[in-house]
Amino acid sequence: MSLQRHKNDEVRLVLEQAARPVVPSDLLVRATERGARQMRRRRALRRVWWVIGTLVVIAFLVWASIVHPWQAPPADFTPPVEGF
Amino acid sequence: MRERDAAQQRRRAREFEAFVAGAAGRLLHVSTLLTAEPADANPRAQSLLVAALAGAYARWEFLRGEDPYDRTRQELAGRFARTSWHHRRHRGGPLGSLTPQERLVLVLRLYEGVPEEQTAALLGLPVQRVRAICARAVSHVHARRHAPKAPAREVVTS
Repeated sequence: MSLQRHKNDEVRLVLEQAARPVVPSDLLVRATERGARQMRRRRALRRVWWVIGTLVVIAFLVWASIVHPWQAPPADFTPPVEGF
Repeated sequence: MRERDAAQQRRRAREFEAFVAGAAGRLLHVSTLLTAEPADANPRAQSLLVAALAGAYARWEFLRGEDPYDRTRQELAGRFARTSWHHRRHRGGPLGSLTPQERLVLVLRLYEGVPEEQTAALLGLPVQRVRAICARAVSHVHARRHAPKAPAREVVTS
């Protein structure tokens, strides 16, 4: 266990002592632009879903007000008349 | 409404800039260790980091007290794991002879100090598997360090 820990410490040291890259000056601008684009795209997509949902609801209301699906359909033929 | 949006935008930009100024150095080091590129020529590490930072920027309002550094690191690790096939080649750096998965586990566990359970959850692996990968990667790096003339191991991607 302690051998493993010793090895771990040594590798951690290797990682920490590795040459550090220099942060390029345009990193912030690149990330911000890409993030803003992502945000705009997501917002547009959400808007499209809302429009589709609203249209579906309106279509359903119109259909229901014309067809009245909650009413029983009229009988197709009158019952036979007997004993008249 | 528009004015409030603009104010929010400015605040987000300011906070994000402060975050990047503080965290970019360390995150770029992590990214460069993962892609196994030399420190002075690391275009892949840079684009990986830019993508992860952009995700953090887009979700800045929804962090709700969560640490942006943790989120960005998580996104970075996730992106690297998804695209690890492109990072299988040895390009330099101290972890070049490891597989992408070994690099990811080693960097998360030892350099970033992420607990085993979190690493396992992040990669969708059992904890024992993470422990095994980490031990294997550590002994590999250790062995190479003590025998620098040993031939580079054939990198097998799984």
